[in-house]
Amino acid sequence: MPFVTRSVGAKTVDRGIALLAGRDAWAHADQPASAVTRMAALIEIWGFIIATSALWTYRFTLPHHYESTIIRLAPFGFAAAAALLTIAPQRVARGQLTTTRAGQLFVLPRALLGVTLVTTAYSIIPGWASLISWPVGIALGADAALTSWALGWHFKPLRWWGLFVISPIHFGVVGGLLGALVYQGWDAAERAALPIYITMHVWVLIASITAWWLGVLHDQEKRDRRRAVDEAASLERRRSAHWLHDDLCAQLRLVSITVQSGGATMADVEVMLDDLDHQIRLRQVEEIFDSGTIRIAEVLQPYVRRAQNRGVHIDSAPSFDDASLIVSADVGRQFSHAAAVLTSNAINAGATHIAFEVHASDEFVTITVTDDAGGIKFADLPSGRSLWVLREDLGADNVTVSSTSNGSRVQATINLTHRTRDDAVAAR
Amino acid sequence: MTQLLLVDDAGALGELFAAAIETTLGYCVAVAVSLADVGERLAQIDSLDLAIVDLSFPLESGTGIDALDEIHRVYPDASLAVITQGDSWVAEILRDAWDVLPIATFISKSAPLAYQLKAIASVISTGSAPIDPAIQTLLPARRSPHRTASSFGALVQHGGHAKLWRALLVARESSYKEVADLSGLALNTVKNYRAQLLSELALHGLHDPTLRQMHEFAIRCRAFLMPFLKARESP
Repeated sequence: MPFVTRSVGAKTVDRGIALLAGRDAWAHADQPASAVTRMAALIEIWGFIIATSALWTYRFTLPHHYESTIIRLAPFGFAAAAALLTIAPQRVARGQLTTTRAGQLFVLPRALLGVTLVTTAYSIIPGWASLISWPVGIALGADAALTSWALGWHFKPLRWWGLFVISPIHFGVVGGLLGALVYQGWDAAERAALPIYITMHVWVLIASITAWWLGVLHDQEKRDRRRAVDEAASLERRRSAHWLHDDLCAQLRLVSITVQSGGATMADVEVMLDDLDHQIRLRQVEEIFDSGTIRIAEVLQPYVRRAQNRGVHIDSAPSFDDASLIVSADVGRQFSHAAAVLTSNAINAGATHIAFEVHASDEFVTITVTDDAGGIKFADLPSGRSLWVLREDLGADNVTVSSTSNGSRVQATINLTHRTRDDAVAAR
Repeated sequence: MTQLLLVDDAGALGELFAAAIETTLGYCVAVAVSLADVGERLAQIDSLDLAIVDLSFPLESGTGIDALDEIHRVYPDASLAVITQGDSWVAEILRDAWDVLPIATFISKSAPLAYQLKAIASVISTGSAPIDPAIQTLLPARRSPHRTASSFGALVQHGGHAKLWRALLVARESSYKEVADLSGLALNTVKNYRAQLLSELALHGLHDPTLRQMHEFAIRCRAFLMPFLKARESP
């Protein structure tokens, strides 16, 4: 609910200026352009290209109109203004992300380009022939649609024409037209001013229709996306229900039967519940993998908990500074595999103290687990053991074992070859 | 007698944990099962040595930070501890609490009971306890020197900024249009105010944030922003 209200007039002026500033003033870098947004950008570019082509065609067809130097330069002015106005939509169409800048930086240049567009268009094509510049209306409509979407403004462009009719700009034009009628007579006004007036209305009307049509498509796209999200959520809920039934309930039943049969001590039950807790944690991590990226800290956390719940004293765990790296799901799964093997290895060997370390760079991420459970040697490992498999998976050079005074230090290195700037960001 | 306050929306678990503390450590524990209960519980006790607060209250509009801030204002000398599952969705709240409030320790809900009790006893006797290793991975090694309760004042430099944050707190879509409508500010003014705050927001880890990210930050750090919003809005 708004806690401050503003007059309708102030809002209209505010939004008019916002539209004049254009999409780049309002779009955020984290808003990737959707299909309809890109299409609107292409339509804007197309509108300017068609309008420019039409004007140049007219200019070459009727060269005798171009008597003064200023009028001879007008087609170049129109083409230049149109080309500059297509820079932003070209970036949108290519899917390039925008960095927002102050809105007022855009208002004046775009206003000047707009005035150049209007004056040069009417200079090139005087009289009723100026109606062939109608594609400019399409470009302006697409531009307005793109800007309003970036603003979060669900606008009603079909009201624009009505608003335009009662706007000071329109009354000014009507006044000029009447002045021409009074001082130059109907013939002169009909020949010069009236076509400009009608063409202006055509531009606004076509812009309104274009923006309305694109708005319909944009709304439909949003509905489709919402439906897809709902379907994905429904699928996920079914998947979770299966997991609750097949895994979680089965595990709880196992604990229950074991207790009822009297075949377990409280310590056994505690271990079983800790196992269940660990499975739930791993399941949470799996859910995050499905999102495409994951933070190393999130992958490591279940294994630190597991060691802690097994009565192992954790001598050290990496801080967020070391474990904040965000990696792709592929790298995350490799890291998870390494963490699982190294932690289980230490626990199974009877460690009472474990230290976890994580180091990350642009090329690799390493996990090091140091324990006090005596030493191990690769040469002694039978093939098929988890550490041996990990070494096969990551490469012989990427898993190293060294001895400490009372235990071993195992380090696994995962290369970040799968990491890309798009799906994994070093967010430390 | 040593007085503790436990704030946790998992009612049965909270009562059980409180009973374990009382039985094992001999402390007196008051339990609040919602953020709304915190004020009432604080009014019922005469002193407070340690407050142990969960961070996630999915059925309420606030977070544990609201409770921690309220407790810290009423009992500034009481130690504060956070007890949490340490899941990824509370990670940012954890870091906010760590940076801005004098948290004595972070306890993992999944740690063995003996470990949890040892941490509580340590805070009571020494004023601090090592951070649970499972939570350590979510916390920076050191607190940010730039993030203090007073540093939030720089995010509300005048009444216009207060209007912006008020609007962001209640916004649903967090678009320029919605924030402008809610705040009564012009669209370009919203944009300018956001731009004015960028350098201060960077100190809070928000680099060129969208309005949606600012909305999420405002919700998380509402307790820290609110005193400055009220100060700027008063006549």
